[in-house]
Amino acid sequence: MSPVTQRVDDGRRRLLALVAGAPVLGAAALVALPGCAADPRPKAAPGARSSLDADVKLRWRAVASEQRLLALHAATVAAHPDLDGRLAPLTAHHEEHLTVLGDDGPLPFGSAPDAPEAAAPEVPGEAGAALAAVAEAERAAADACVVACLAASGPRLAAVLASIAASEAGHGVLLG
Amino acid sequence: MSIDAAQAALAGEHACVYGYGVAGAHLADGAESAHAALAAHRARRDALAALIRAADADPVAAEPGYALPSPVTDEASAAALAVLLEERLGALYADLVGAADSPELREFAVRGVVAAAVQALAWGGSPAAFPGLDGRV
Repeated sequence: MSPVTQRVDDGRRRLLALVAGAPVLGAAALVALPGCAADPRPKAAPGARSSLDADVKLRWRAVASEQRLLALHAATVAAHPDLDGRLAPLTAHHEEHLTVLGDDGPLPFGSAPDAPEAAAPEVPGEAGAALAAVAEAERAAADACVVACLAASGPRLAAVLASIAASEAGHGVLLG
Repeated sequence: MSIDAAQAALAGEHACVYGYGVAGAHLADGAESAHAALAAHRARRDALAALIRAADADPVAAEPGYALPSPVTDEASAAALAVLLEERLGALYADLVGAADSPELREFAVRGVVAAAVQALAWGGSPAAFPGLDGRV
């Protein structure tokens, strides 16, 4: 095989890995990330709010945001049962977000700091407007997740928040 | 390490630039949105290369040749390639989010995860709970 063919061939193999299989990643990057490695946990999660580990606070707020979105989805479907088909698959994503955020360690009781009081979400009487309200809430939640991702110290939490932001931005597009 | 993950994402952007060049000819709805996607990937490729240079490393170059996972012959196969490219790229950016050791790189990466997920949906991809991290959370 000529050197040129060889080079092209190597390139192809590498791209093939990129496109068709495992990302072309150094093993190091993979180890550093999600899947397995949990971020180190602070020794005491529950306690005085001021002393809470900053990442626990971010996770706590993200949990509260997911709960608000789930409440909004539920109220929207209750008011407009016809929207169930559109919303149900997306509602399931929020349940998954909540599970993963909760699985990453204990959280304090009560509502997250700065979380607005949990009032029953208001749902517009017209289905199109109700859907638009959900889309708007999804986009706002995505933006908040991006901000939280930038503030996170733990690599796993940062990656999870980035991914949730992407999921919710996608919901905003699908519903908007 | 941060630079390895940044280089991997840059390699992904190179592959996307190539891939959209192939897929673009078949993507109806236009040339328009395929062009916009290609321009976005070129812009991110250049921005990421600049960030890598700023960290005193040499940005990886595009490969001389790329193999496609399956032939692109019509609009459906072109859209499928675009979805695949965006999903793979999203995974590379998610890795970079975790590995980034500067706020600039972290921010670039999180925007990359979001953009890839939204773009994959635009080409007919399925919405996911964890774009970029599928099977890894």
